[in-house]
Amino acid sequence: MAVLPAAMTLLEAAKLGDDSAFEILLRPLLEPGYRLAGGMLQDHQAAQDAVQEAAFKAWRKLRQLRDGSDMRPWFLGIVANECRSVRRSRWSSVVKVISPARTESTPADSVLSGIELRNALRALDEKKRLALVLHWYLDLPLDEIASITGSSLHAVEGQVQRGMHELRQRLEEHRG
Amino acid sequence: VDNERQLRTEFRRALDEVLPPVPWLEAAVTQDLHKRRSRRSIDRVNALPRSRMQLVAGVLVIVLAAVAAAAFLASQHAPQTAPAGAISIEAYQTMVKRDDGMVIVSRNDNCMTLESACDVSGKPAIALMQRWLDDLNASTPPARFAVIDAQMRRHLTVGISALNAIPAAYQAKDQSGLDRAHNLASDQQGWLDEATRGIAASQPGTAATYIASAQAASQAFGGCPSWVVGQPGRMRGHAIHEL
Repeated sequence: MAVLPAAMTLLEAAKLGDDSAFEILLRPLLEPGYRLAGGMLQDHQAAQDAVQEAAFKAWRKLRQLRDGSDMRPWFLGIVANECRSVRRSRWSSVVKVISPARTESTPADSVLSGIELRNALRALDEKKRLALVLHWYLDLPLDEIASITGSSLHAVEGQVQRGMHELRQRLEEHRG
Repeated sequence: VDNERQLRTEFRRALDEVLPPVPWLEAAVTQDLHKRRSRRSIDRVNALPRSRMQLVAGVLVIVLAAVAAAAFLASQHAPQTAPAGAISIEAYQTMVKRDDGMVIVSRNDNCMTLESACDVSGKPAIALMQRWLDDLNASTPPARFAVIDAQMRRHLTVGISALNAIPAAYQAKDQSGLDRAHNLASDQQGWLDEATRGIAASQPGTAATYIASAQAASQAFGGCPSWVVGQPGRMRGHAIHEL
């Protein structure tokens, strides 16, 4: 991934304590951060909170970002970690709130399909879910996902493939 | 492939349903960052004196510990201070020997009978015994001599009274009174001489030396059947041992 010289300059300035430079760098990362957190947590409020927390942690840890590194995978990695800790602390309550039973009311097919898919996604293990969200929802290339997750490219490919297969299987089971 | 595309589209739609756009996210994050940065700055400013105080407290603890350690070491190594008026064993022994020696030199046989000459000769001995008594009263004896010190003062007092009684009996032409006064004064002086020898020879000893000393004293008593056992003021001149 190419890093623009201008961004490098901003990164250096931000690392030297220029807060506005940091904000400029952070701005384009907030939307993908929100989508990642939303895909993982399936709760827009929790997703916003996770992005806010990740932004603060990124500001605190900015010196740890190696010179020449791209900020996006680094920041999305922080968001993913934040989602992990949020999930640990509040996932069960979220699940209870947003998980409708199959026998409940009969909404439109598309809505039902969305619920089923989100339930199926939620049932995936974390690595597969993260790989799928990053690849399918954020349209990130596999090498960047590998950078975010700290896995090899091969491992990420496998996670996406297995995640997709599992998701399909679960949906088929749900839909009979 | 079509199946995968369809699933992917469905996937996006399913997540979009629960994730409305949040155009305020950027402003919210920026505002939150500003707030938390300033709070962190305040915390840092507050933390600075706290860290200094911790440093000062740490230094104080070290200084106090050092002072306590120094005081402890000083108390361990410094010579033990004696109470006011206390004198060392050697000084006490020297003082007693000196005072007893002067009293011995001052004795004479004047006024022994009503017929002999008597020029109130007891006076120098009285003054020297009084000085000895004053010396004892002015000092605190070493622990090992505490008991004998009290006894010496009592014998000195009795001795002084006896010496004062000699010229009085002589002038009263009272021979028996004169004899009693002489005997009493002689008993006290004898006791004081023995006590002085014991004090002068006093030294740290062991249980074995103490037992040997006691046995020697017992044999000495056994060898003198003419002595009146239990006569007030009588003692044998053996060294006082400190066990």
